[in-house]
Amino acid sequence: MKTVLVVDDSALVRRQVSNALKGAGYEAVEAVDGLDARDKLAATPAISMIVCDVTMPRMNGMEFLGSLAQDGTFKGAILMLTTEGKPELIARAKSLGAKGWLVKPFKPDLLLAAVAKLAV
Amino acid sequence: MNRLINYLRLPREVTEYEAAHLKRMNRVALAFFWLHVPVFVVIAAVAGGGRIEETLLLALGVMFGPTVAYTALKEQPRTMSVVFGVTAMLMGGVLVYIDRGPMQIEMHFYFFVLIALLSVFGNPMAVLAAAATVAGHHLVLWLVMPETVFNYNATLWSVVVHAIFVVLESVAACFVARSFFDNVLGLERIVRKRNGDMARVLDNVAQGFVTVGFDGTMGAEHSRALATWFGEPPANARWWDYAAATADETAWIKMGFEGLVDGFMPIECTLDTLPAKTTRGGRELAFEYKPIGSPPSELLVVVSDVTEERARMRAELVQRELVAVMEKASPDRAGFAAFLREGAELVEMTSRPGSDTATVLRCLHTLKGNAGLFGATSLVETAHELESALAEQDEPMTSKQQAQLRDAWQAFEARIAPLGVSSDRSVIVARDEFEAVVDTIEVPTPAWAQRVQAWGLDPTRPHLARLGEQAIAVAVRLEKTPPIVAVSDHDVRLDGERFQPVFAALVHAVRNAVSHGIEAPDERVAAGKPEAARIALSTEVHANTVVIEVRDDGAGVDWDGVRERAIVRGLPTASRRDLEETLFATGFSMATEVSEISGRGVGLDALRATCRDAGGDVEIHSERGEGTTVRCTFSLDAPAEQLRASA
Repeated sequence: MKTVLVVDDSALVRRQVSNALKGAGYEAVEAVDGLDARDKLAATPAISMIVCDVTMPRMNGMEFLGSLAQDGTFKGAILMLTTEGKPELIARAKSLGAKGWLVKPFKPDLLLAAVAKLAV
Repeated sequence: MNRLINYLRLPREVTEYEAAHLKRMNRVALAFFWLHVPVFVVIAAVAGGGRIEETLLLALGVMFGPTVAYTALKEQPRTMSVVFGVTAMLMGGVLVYIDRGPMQIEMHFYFFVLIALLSVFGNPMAVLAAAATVAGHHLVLWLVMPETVFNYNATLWSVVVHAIFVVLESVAACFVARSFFDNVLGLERIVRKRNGDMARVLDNVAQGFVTVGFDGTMGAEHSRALATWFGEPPANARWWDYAAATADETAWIKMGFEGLVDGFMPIECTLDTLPAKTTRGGRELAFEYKPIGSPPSELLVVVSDVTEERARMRAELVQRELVAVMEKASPDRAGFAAFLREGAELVEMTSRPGSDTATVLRCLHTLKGNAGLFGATSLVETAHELESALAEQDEPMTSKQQAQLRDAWQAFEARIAPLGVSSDRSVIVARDEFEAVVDTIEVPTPAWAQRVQAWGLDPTRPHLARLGEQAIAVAVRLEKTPPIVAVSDHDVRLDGERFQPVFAALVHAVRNAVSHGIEAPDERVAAGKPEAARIALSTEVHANTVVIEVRDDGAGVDWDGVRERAIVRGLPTASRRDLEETLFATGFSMATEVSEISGRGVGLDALRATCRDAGGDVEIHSERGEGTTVRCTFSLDAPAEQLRASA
C-alpha cells in the first residue's frame, strides 16, 4: 500500500485529502506545516509521495520544497495544491522539484488521478 | 431514364483536379495511340499479306482526328476523352483488319482491352462513344466487307454475340468510370462542399471553436465568434498570446501547456489548472478544453459567452442571499444588528493604516464566519477570496482589495436596508410581551421599574438626526453651505404615537431656518460668524415638561419687515408678541417668492396646529442678527415620560 504525506495547515483540507486517498486505498500521513512534514518524513520512510499546500505557518510549502531539494533524500513525487493563476509560484515550485500542481478547491477525482500517476 | 442519363453524363463543373488528371491522361492516350502506328506496321509485316502501306495509311488516318482534336480541345479535356473513346475502337478495327489470318478472331480481344482502359478517363461518355463506334463499325463492315471483320462466314448471330459482350463490358466500364469520377476525381468538389458546410457552421455558431496543439499553435480553422471576441488570429499565433488578456494570464496558460507537454500529470488535471474564464470588451467568456486524439495530441478549445448567464446567476444569488439573510436575521434581529455593527468595524479595520496582514486576515476570517451565520454569501465569498489572495501574496492588502471589500460590504448593507435592521444597538421585543412585563410592575417608583417603562417609549435621537439630515439636504438643494447640525436628545424618550406628527411637522421649522435664517457665507463672515451656520436640535425634559427646539444662528427674523407685511394684511402689530403671532398666521410668508422649499406661508401654521393637537404649543424667539429659536413645549403626564432614560 502506497503512503502519501498530506501537508496543509487547514485541518479541513487535510481531512478531505486524506479521506479521498484512504477511500482509494492509499495510506495517508498528515502534517500541519513544513517542519512537521520533515519530522513525519523522517519517521515514516514508507512515504512515497507528498501532497503539499503552499501557504502554511512556520515553514511554508516553498521552503519545505527547498529543504527537500537541498538534502535530496526524498525521491518520490511532490504535488502542490495552489490557488489558480499563480504561474510564477508554480514555476518556482517546479524548479524546486514539484512534479505537478492542482488548483484549490481540489476535486477528489483529479487528485486521485494525479496521485495514481505520480505515486511510485 | 433521367437517372440513367445523369449517371452517364457527368456534372458540368470540371474541377481543377479533374482537369489536371484528364490533361495528363489525354497526353498519355495520344502518345499511346501514336505508338500503335509503328506497332501495327510491324504486325502487318509479320502477318503478311503485304498490307504494310495500307496499314500505315489507315493508322495515320485514324490518328488524324485525335491529333487535330488534341490542340482544338485543349480547354475541353472531357470531350477529348470522348474522342479517344472513338479513336480506340477505330484502332481496334485497324488491328482486326490487318491480321486476316488465323488470329483475326483473337485480335477482337483488343476491343475489350481498350474499352476497359477507357475507364481511366472517369467518364462513362468515353466508354459509351467507344461502344457505339465498335457497334457501328462491325455492323457496317460485316455487311459490306465481312472478311475484314471475321475470318469465317459469320452469321448475324456471331455479330450479336460480339455485341452482347461489348454491352456487358461497357456497362461495367461505365460503372468503374463513374465510381472513379465520384470518389476520386470529384472528391475536390465534395470536399469543397463539405468545407462550405463547415464554414457555414463555423460562421454561425455562437461559440468560439479552435484546435490548439500542445505547443500552442492554433489550427487554421476557427469559428467566427472567436475572431469577434479575440480578433483574427495572426499567422503562427500561440494560444497563450492570443487568448490571454494580461501578461500574467499568458504566463499562466503557457505554464499549463508546458504541463501538457511534459506529461507528468494526468491531462485532465493539467487542463483543470488552465484559466476557465476571461473578459473581452465587457463580455465574460468561459473556456473549455477538450483533448482530441488518442493519445491526445491537441485540444479543442470551446469559448462561450457567459455574460448574460453570469449576470442572471449573480442576480439570482443576490436574491437567494436576501432570502437567506431574512430567514436567519428575523428570529435574531439583535444578533443580526450586532453582526452589522461588528462587520462595519471589521471592514473599516482592514483598511486602517496601522493594520498589519495578520490583523487583516483575522478581520477577514471573523467577517467570513459571521457572514456565514447570517447567510450573507456575497460577503463570505469576498472575504474568502481576499483571505486566499492575502495568504499567498507577499504584500499587504492592496487599496484595490480594500475597495473590493468595502464595495461588497456597502452593497450588502444597501441590499438589506429594506429589511429595516440597522446596526444601531437595539433590542427588539414584541409589544404585547413588553406590555405584559410592564403590567407586572406594581410599584412604579423604583428606578429600574421606571426604566423598563421608558423602554416602551421612542428615543428622540433618530427623529432629531433625521431633521438634521433634512436641514443639510435643503441647504444642498438651495446651494448654500451645509450647516453644522448639533443634536442633543438628552436621552429623552417620548410616546411615539403622540410625538411622531410633531417631529414630522418640525421639518417646516428646519426648512425656514435654512432657507430664511441662514445668511450667505460672505454676509456671515462680515457679521463675524463662522462661514457654516449652526443648527441645534434638541429635546429636553424639565420637571414635567418636554421641550423640543430648533435653533439656528442665522440672521434672525426681520421684525420690521414682519410689521410692514402685518400692516398690509391688517393684523395687530402693537407688541412683539403680536408680531410673533403674525408669523404663525395662515398664508403669511416672509419669502418674496415661492420656492419648492418654502414661501407659501403654511409651515409655521401647520407646526402650531400639530403641536396643539399633541397637547402642547410652539413659540418663536428671534433677535435680528443672532438667530432664531423655534421651541415646542408639551406637558407630560405619565411618570415614565418624565424620565430621562439614561443609556
